[in-house]
Amino acid sequence: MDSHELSELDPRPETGRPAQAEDLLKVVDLCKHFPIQAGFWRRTVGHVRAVDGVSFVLHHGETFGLVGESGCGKTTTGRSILRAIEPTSGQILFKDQELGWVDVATLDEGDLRVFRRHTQMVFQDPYSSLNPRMTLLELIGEPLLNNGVRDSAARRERVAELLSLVGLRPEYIRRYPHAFSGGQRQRVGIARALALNPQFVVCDEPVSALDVSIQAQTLNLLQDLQEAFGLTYLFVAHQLNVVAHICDRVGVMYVGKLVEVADTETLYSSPLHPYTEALLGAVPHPDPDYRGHRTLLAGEIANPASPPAGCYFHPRCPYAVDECSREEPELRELQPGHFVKCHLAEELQLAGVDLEV
Amino acid sequence: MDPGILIDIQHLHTNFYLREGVVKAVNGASLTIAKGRTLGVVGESGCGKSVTAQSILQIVPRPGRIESGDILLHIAEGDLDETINITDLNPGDPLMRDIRGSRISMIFQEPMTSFSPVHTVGNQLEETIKLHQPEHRDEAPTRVLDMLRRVGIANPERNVESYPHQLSGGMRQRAMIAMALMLEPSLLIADEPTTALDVTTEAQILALMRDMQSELHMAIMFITHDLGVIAEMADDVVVMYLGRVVEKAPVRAIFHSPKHPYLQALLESIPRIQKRTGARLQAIEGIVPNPLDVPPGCPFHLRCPDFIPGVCDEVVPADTTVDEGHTVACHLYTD
Repeated sequence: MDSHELSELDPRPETGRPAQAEDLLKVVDLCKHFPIQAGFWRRTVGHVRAVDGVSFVLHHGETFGLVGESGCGKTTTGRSILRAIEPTSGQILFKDQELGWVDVATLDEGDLRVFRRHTQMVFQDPYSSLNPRMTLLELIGEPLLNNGVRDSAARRERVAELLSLVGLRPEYIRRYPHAFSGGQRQRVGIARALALNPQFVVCDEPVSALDVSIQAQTLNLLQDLQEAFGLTYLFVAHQLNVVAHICDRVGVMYVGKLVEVADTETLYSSPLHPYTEALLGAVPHPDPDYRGHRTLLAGEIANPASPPAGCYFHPRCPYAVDECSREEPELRELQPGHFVKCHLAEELQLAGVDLEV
Repeated sequence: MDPGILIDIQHLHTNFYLREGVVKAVNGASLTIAKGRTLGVVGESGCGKSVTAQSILQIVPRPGRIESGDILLHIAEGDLDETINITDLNPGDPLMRDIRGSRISMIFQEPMTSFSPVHTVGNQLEETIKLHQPEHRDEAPTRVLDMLRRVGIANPERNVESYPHQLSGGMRQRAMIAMALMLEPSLLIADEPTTALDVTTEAQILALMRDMQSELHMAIMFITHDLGVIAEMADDVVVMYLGRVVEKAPVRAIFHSPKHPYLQALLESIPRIQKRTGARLQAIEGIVPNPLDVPPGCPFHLRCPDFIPGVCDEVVPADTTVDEGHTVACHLYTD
């Protein structure tokens, strides 16, 4: 299934427009269900629907944010797209620079190796994602070695170049990760991800574990690298201010499903889904004059192993009507590029946040 | 001592004696906590905010210990009016044990730090009464149910029998708050209590803490790195950097007229929800220095845009009062 035309691949209605030149990735109805096993025989007694029918499109050179609370499936979505975990079903159509349009979900071993050269991941925790027994030369050089750069002088040169690219001194090449602070380690992780000149990088909460002053440096670095190399980012995060700063478009997830997708400004200033409104209302503002303006959402996130009927958000939704508990809404394109999964989207007047200029 | 002050910390030094050298985790910090008010303590990892809190309770883990300084606790109840210097007490002193739990209690980022995994929530909450107020042990079960209800735990009659791992993250946080408040302390120390929570749960927990504060008239020492949470919760704020207090002020002054270059830079560096321009954030250059090798002079001078050579790298700046209740430790403001 090497160079398929995208239109042959039966895209779903919600992303059903024909492939366009600027598309890089088209996720169609992606599912990842984890079995729940119980008893002596470890029989499967149910499934956690971590990702449950997610569809979206990514354009070349953009940053697409996936936000939501813990357990909403945003990380699992990112990992499934790179086949770091095997998706249960769905299509992951990717325009690989060598292979052309491919469905990542069905790639064989050989093609998967090629695909993985062109895609990378940056992890949340810079402490556990780097092997403490490897020097920076070995850590960053490993993907080069695995992909045929056998000449050690050439490798050393490339690693030194990558280190200066991410703002670390090339003299550090022989040091081990423990000699570095969290922010510096995250730079090492980024250098490693960039070693093979990827097209597409999944950033999984890349700044959540970092101190405020280091977050800013790291976000700036990611933006600089994107501009320099035309990278496309899938940016998985829960901090809405960080997402507003770095993302061009944003998808909001709730219990395994995408509930709203729009460009960043539209999503923040005029959300169409009640959950997006609640998330935006809950963000703490770094200004004491805003005190007490946080909205309180009642209840807790639904259990993805036994979600409620109808719209998963209805037990917590202040606007829910009967229909919401019976029937699951479709993800609909209400305005061009603005998708929402809510029965009442046309009627509700939801509050966004004022965008500071 | 000013009757409105509950805790007065003067020139506190708490050191950790490691094989590699001495880490001055708290390096001469002074601050006060007013009765019934919330003091926000903000700073990045390693700034000494948690160790300051541990010093108040005399629970600094080894190899750390309080080196010098005073932590004065003001107790005024009925006829009783006395001041205890906590640094004079032994960590194992009966008076210290009485202070912990019944006068000052603490909650953490991870609720399982407070709970034993093998006892029910109800048992552990009753334990606080049996230990500190044995004369009231008969009322313990009803008081526990009442407290669980007040912190918003659904179905307290059933959940009192639950083990901590059976509760959800938000509910566990509420149970931990219930345990901390069982004996109605005059100070609650909250060390990053909402950092691991999702925003919607965080908003619920912060609202709960505010409600309980006005019900019990307790002071809160709220430790966090999140300036958004500080803006939401604090009445007064201290900003720490590398073991020192660099600025103290009422919360509005902290956000509307920050003085220390570190605080100014920190506020500039937070990503705001704003129109996208593709512009870069104002990052603070460099990293926090190694705590084993603290630079001489002002701890921030290596990263400071307003660095004055010959002054900032030689002399530790003293606190300068710039406004009522607003002090800053920076050479730019000394005469």
